[in-house]
Amino acid sequence: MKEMAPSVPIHLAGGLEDGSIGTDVTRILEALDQVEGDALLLSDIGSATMNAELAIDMYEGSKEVAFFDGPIVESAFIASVSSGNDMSLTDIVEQLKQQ
Amino acid sequence: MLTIDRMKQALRDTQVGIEDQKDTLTDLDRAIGDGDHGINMSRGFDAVSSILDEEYDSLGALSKKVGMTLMSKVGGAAGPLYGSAFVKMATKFGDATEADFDLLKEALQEGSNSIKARGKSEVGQKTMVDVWDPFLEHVKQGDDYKQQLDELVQKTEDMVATKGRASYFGENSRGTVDPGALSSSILLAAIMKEVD
Repeated sequence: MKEMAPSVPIHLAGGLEDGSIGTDVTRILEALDQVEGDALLLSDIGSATMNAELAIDMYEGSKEVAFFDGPIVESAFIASVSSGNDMSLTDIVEQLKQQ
Repeated sequence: MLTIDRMKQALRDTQVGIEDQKDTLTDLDRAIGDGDHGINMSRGFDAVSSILDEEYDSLGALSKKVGMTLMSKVGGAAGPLYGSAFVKMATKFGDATEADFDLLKEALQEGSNSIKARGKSEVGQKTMVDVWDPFLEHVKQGDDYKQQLDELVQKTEDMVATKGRASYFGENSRGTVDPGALSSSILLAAIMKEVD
């Protein structure tokens, strides 16, 4: 993705503070804060998806944030290329839904 | 009456109960999940017990802190589920410094609803909802709470999972008690013990 869309910031929020497996909603919120523009959140399965939805509900910042529940590799690839081509967050989510 | 101190006691008892059952929770989850429920719950309630020495003005403030702690420390799906439950219970408790049976039950019902919403789950899917929902629907003050909870946990054994990690096991999930149901019964029994 960095090769196809080098200008698009990608932040990873998987794993717990101590490096163990899982997801932590505060780490997801931090990752959302690190993105300067609008942010798209993707997850794989199980608790990651649940925590992603929780993070969107808890997010109190001023940016547009969206979560898309779909295949993470394909979605991340499509979203990063589209974002690099200046597509809006709303349009990117629409595009992912069509896949 | 459930006072702030008695709620703290319930949470300490939960931590001990989870620790006692840690291997069982892990074994159950290994059979029909990803085998981390014992470790996750133990880590979460260890973190909860470390915030209990602080002072809290209300049951709401304590519950909210517990919820936020569980959200960030548990790791698996139990984190957002139990975490949301406590955060939602906090809104029901509000500034109250003690809760009678009825207020506690209402708060727990809010918690149960938030577990259902967050997990997009209903009764009968072999999840913790199968303990929370029927328990709160039928429980009356002075009942044998522990026995009711144990029976509900046992009932999940014969269910087929249609939600959560266990649903990937399909028919093979039958015959194993749901680990989330067991951990829920430990928590609810500890809280109910403190209200009478």
